[in-house]
Amino acid sequence: MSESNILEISGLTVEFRSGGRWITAIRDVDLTLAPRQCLGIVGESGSGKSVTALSILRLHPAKSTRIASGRILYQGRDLLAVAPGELARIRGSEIAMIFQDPMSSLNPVLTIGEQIGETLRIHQGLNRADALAKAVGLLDMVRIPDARRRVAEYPHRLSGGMRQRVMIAMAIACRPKILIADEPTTALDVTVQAQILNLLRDLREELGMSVILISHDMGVISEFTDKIAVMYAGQVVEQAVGDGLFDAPMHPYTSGLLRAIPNIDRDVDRLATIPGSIPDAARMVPGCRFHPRCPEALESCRSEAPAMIDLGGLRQTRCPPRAERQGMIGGRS
Amino acid sequence: MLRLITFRLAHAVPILLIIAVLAFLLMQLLPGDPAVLMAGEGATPQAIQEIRQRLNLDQPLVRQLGTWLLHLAQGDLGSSLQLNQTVVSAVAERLPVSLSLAAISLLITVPAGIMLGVVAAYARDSWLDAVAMAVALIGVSVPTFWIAILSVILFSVTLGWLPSAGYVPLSEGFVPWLLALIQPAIVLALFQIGFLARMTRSAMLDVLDQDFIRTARAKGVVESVVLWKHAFRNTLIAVLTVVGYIFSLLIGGSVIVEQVFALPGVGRLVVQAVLTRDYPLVQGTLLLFGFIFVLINIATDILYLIVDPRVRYD
Ligand SMILES: Nc1ncnc2c1ncn2[C@@H]1O[C@H](COP(=O)(O)OP(=O)(O)OP(=O)(O)O)[C@@H](O)[C@H]1O
Ligand SMILES: [Mg+2]
Repeated sequence: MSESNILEISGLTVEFRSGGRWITAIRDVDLTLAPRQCLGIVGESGSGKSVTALSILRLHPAKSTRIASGRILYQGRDLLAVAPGELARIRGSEIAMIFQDPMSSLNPVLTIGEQIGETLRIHQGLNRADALAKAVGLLDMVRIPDARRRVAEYPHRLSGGMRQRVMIAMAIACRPKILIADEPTTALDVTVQAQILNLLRDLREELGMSVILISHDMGVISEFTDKIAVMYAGQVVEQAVGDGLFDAPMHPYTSGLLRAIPNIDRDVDRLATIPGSIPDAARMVPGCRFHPRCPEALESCRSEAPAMIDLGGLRQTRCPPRAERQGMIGGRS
Repeated sequence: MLRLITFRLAHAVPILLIIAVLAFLLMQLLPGDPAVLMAGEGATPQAIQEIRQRLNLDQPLVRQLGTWLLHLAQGDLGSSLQLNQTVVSAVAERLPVSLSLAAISLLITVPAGIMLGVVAAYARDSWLDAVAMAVALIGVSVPTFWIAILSVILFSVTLGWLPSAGYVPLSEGFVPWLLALIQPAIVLALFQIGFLARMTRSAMLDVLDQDFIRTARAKGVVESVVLWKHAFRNTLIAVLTVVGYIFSLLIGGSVIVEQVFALPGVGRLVVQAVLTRDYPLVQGTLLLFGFIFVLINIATDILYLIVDPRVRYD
């Protein structure tokens, strides 16, 4: 494990049991996260973003899931191998997670204060009263007005945006080193989305956390993250640091995603989409997984499954033709 | 909350009235002349006439209903034809037996059924689940009288551990009372445990799939707390509904067990009243069961308010 990374996922392959067979949901995923970095994972629905994120804290349904291979190194330990007791200690205190649907992610029969306080009682041994007092402070921190009154309320009294703030308060209660946010704003309306994302950015700076932000919205990813991994059909297909990915995408799928961003300045009749859909995980296509939808596909793309190609400068792609072209240009200049 | 409880109680009044009218109509719905039926074969015309007068059957229907409701309001349900008692005192004398039986049975059923259901749901599709559900299935499907007889043969006749029949009032000591009731209570509970376990299991399976369970795990909550605090508390509405239903079944449905174990409870009284065509007594017990059902329903509704914040506010 390199010193500069707080989290290193390597060779992660996860399978789900479906009708007596094991179906591979993600294959050979490699990702790294540096301290205070915000890693964005982007991709269409079903590309394996959540499966990847849930693997870190081993939150998959135990019986129907199998981690076929891979390691997730956190502070020198493989999270996939630590004992359940140790995992429970890490969950919520060192690595915390928030989810896509704030409406269903909070327990309807426990008060907000109880749910936030529980994290503190588990990990910091606070008593009920102290935990509750601290919960009020946390609600202030996530900018929920009238926090003192809100702690005694139940989730159904709050709007979606407020509930997501409660989820965030719960997640940062123990000042975790890593916060995983799996599409935290997808279920919220646009103005609330921006508020939540800004809040997350401020908290990251304030608490010095590393963040993994998952989204299928390229706009969100470009604005809030400093490193990007693009996922397609269970694989990472391109990785880049900074704006490189937007200036010169190194995978046709990334190009497609960028074309699909709605743009107010550009006056188009119809939004560009990527034709076709993600292949079924149970019947994965041979060769490059994107080739049936790729406008640039060559004969070799149909048969040879491409490995990740390192382009230098922390740039990686799974598209050999584009990598070659880049190399040619690089060679000429 | 107080307003809701008051509202719920007020709501019960018309229902209780309907039950009273139905109990009254029971007598009218009998084919033929109830007085003749009640008097039995070979009764003299005088005897029949006497019954008719005693039960006001010679009056117009509306008048009869008025009298019946008026008496009912005063706590007067008339007298039994066969027993030398008023209906109220006959029922009141036997009610403690049935209530004791139901209470002990419920005290066994609730923890056992919930435990079995929760464990089965948590260990879904494992051998533990299979065993728990097999036990529940046996409890539900084997006839109560058969279990009762087997139990008596084993524990009373062969082993001689427990009395096979009879009731000892609580006033004669807690232990003798418990010893007299424990065997019939367990026999009664066996069916209900199976029922409650199956309902609890399916409610738990629904809850365990919810997002907030994953949230709890992501916070580092240990599995036992996830199970009881985060999941089970969300099934309380469903569980309470079933427990309330079971409690009313226990009070009404103890007929067989009271018969086998010769317990002088309301269940036996009903059988006796029907067999001897003691209609005032049948009416009285019918009324009692109706009232108890309604009371249990109200109690369940009020408990909903306590266990579920969503009900509390809406
Ligand atoms: N518990 C599970 N059991 C079986 N298959 C699953 C399970 N979870 C995910 N999958 C499958 O794994 C694949 C990747 O799903 P995943 O949820 O990671 O997608 P995603 O990129 O997060 O999409 P979205 O944007 O819709 O959240 C999908 O084909 C999905 O059907
Ligand atoms: Mg997802």
